[in-house]
Amino acid sequence: MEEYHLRQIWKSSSKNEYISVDKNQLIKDFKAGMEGREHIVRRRDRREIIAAIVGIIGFGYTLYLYSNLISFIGSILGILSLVYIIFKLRNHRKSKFTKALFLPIHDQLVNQKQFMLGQFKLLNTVLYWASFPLFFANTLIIWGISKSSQPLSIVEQLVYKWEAKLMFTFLIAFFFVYIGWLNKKAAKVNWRPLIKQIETIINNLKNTDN
Amino acid sequence: MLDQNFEQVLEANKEKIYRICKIYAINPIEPQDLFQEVVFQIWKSLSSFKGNSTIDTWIYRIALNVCMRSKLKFEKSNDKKVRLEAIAFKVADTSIDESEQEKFRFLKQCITTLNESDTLIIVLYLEELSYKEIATVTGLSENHIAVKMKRIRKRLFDCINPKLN
Repeated sequence: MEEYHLRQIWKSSSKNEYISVDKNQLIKDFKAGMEGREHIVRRRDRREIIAAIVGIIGFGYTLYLYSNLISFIGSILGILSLVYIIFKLRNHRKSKFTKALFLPIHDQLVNQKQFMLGQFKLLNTVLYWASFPLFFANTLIIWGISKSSQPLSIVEQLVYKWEAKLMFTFLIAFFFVYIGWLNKKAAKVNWRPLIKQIETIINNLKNTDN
Repeated sequence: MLDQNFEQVLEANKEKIYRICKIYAINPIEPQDLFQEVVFQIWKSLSSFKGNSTIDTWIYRIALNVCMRSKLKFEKSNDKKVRLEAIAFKVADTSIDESEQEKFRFLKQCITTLNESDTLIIVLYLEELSYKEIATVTGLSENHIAVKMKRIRKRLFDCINPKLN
């Protein structure tokens, strides 16, 4: 077999089907495609913002309710943590790293790897940048609550005794450690194999021996 | 109306894009789905074409980047798939030579035994790109491509010759 024949086989592979393009419809499809993708992004943005607003309202309410210094610090820490989480998530958006599909293959692979490493690190460290701050915020609020107001609110009734505070602290700690563990698992299962795969491709591209 | 440039680019390149998609499409992804995604990405990126490389090189980059991304299961959710009803695939009027089809199946089998990086180089080689052009598409040096090609070509011929003889 000669190279010429091989190329003939290759070129003839696209002759079996005829690709027809309705040019007037295509522009409508493109617009629909763009709108569809923008809609997905908008929906995700909305979800994040609603979650953050609900959280901020919650911490704002505790700020208003409990005037003692410890709970005040906890509430402020909670609000700042949520703002930081939103900032961090938006900063790691995929499009920032991977939209330049016209780059040389090697450069685009490196970009994708960088994005994947970013996602891996983001999930792997949720415990530090999301769980811990929110845990401390909630713990401070709970430990700050005292038997100062009459009548006692439901929350105050629940946690004004130190045994109850301790129990709630453990519960909250368990919850946030669990969240951190879930994210670590997701990083390991979803991203690590892809990073390995992309590293192999980049190494194979650069290597002439294999 | 579609941009005149885009129409021309698509018409001139649709077959080569489809050939590449046929190699990279792995069940459950169909070559037609990949083709649509590549066309969509070309349309989206057309404004960023500055003419630093030839349009052919630029198209190959997008097609291969999209295909490799799909193979890496980069797009996990199906709702991000673009549907272009305007593109239809019809069986060609001319009678299909079955032996040619079988030969292509063998070729595809042999190409899929290669690793990812070798696959993309051999695809560009079969598209009759020069080493210099392959280097531009991949971002590697011409010498590097030449060294790799020697080995890949041998591997491909070792695989396909017994099948065709």
